[in-house]
Amino acid sequence: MLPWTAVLARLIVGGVWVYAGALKVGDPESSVAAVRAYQLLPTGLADTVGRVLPMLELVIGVCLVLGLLTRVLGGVSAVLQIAFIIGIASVWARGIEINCGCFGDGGPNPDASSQYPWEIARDLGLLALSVFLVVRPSSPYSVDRVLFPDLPEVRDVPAEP
Amino acid sequence: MSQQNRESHRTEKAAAVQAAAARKQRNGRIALVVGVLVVLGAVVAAGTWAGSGKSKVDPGDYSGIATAVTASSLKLGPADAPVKVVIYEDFLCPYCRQLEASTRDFLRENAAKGKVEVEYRPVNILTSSTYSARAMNTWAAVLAHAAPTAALKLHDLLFENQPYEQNADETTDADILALVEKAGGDNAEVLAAAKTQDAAFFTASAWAASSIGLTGTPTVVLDGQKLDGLSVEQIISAIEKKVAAGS
Repeated sequence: MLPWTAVLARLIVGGVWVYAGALKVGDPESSVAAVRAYQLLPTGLADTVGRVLPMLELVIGVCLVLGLLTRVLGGVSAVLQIAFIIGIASVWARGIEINCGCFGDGGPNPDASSQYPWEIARDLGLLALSVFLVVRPSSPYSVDRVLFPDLPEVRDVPAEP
Repeated sequence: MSQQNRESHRTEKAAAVQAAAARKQRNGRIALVVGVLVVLGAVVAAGTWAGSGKSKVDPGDYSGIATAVTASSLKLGPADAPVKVVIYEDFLCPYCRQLEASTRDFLRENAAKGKVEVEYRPVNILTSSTYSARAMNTWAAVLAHAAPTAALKLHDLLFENQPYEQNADETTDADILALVEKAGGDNAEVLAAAKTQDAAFFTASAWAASSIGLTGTPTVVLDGQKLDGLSVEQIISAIEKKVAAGS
């Protein structure tokens, strides 16, 4: 049962990353503006993060869907989700009303405060699934099983006799 | 050597061989993981590099473009260009920054080809800090007392170095003047004029803004038609389509 839960987690988390990354990857200036809208990182760093994030999200997503380095990338995914939660909580606390820019829709939004709890809830859900993949990365239909067939945490757990 | 001793020696040896094999396998796995991570990192870096779309045109680069200076704006490109783009922008407005970063290459190239006349019209609508007014006033001083190239470069540099709204006033007049120097507009007249607010410029700017019923920035007027209710991305593509169509 657990390995199939991991497959589902991979598809959900990976799918969301691919979707988020693909929407943003063609418009780096919009991504930079979305990161800057949080007014959190030093301006130079915000620029770099805005440019790197879409491609990073895309690669993490594709790898998770394929089951490549599931544990490592599940960890990276969890760290990013924590960063996003901190970001959203921080603009919420400071009364800055913006779209989260999660799916390439950054910008001012007068109704943002009512969205923040849902966005945080969504990210908490994705965080939980990412952490699950760190704890139980083993899953069928994964590249990991081809590359690391002998690794205990990757190998299929033998069925109970 | 006793029988027992020899036995334990043999087991030790076997254990050592096994440990070495396990270590070798583990090292192989680590190498594979690191290798895959390096490849993934390279993919992210290459994709970011290829798609970054970072401006190829340096700030203020306008070689060969005609310029004209009005009471409160700077025009690029020939006056008889088939398409006219007027950009109302606040130096502190984040989406004006995005518009500038996304359109600079396109508009400069097409202004150089004579296909578009671009008018940069700074306005001061973000007044919760003094930064926007200070930046605009300094730009006005450069526009009035230095070369148009310096005003253009300062315009680009102000957007590239835009502070966040919430701590905009941490950017001092000295910081802004450093950009003026970088733009090549730091002559004595400019420095003297920048010290006091240019009431005539501010009035002209506000009048231009109210004449089109400006409610926010960036606002773009494309061939006399104000683009309303569009996102920055939609404004950009409207400009690009119009200029490509040639009228």
